[in-house]
Amino acid sequence: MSSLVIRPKFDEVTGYSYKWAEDTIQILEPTGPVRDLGGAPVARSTVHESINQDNPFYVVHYDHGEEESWMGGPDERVIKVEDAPLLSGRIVYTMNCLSAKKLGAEAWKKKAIVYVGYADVFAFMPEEEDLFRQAASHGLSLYMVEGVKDWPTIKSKMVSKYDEMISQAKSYWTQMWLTHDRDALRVIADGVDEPKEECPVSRTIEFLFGRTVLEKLRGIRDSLYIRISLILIIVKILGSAY
Amino acid sequence: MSEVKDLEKEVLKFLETRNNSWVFFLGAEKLNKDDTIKRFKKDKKFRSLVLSLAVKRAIDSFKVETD
Repeated sequence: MSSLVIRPKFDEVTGYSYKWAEDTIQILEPTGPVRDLGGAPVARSTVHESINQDNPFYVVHYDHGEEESWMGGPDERVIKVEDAPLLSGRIVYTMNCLSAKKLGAEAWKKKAIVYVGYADVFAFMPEEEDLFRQAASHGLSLYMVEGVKDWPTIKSKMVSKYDEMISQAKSYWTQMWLTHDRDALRVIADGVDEPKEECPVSRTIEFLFGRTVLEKLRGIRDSLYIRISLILIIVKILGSAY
Repeated sequence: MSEVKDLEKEVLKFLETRNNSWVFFLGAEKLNKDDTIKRFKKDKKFRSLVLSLAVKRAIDSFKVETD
């Protein structure tokens, strides 16, 4: 299975994330080819071409993030919330700020197998960086190296790893920010950290009949919308012709 | 309430005793000792985040003892 690791480098923080992402490459390499995009700013087009050409099963992003995007450079958003369908059917593993909040939720709705990320800013202490680094890649290691395939279990083991790192931290300040990152961690998959529907109608349908029924109803709604739009366009064309 | 003030004082004392090379990263921001102190004093949101994390750590420590 091929992998794509996106680890742009363009400032001091991304110097750290670039280095930490090396761990994910080492974890992924035994399973197949890894396309390593990083070391410099990465363009949106490069990321999209790589996904379309290689069809990677694993997509990793270590860098700055926002609620709705992954950064590839100071003003370059390599994956945006509207690109969520590109992540469908893939294992998405990130160490960036905030992206689990909206992009992660959307990726899961668009059938990403899992979206591992953070729903708040990611903080770290350079003087004890190894503790943050170890915790960040632990979920991928559990899945790939230790063979844990159940995402709720992976979430709980990742939280335990953060707790282990907290207990090893020398400074209380480090302990506080490891706690912060632990609590911002999201492993969005079936049965764990599933985003709640914002629409109350959707929430009720999901509660009463389950997610599959909700998705089917959405499919029917979308196809009806397309058909009605087509009919209206045809009627308009015919109306203007006569 | 006075406990919160005491905690604030202790956090400030902790930050003031860091050496000059001390830094931490909060998202894209790099904060050194002086930046952090200034932020802690002036930014209510940051101050309450730090205080809530300090309290959370204390709660977690008790949990570890009782679990």
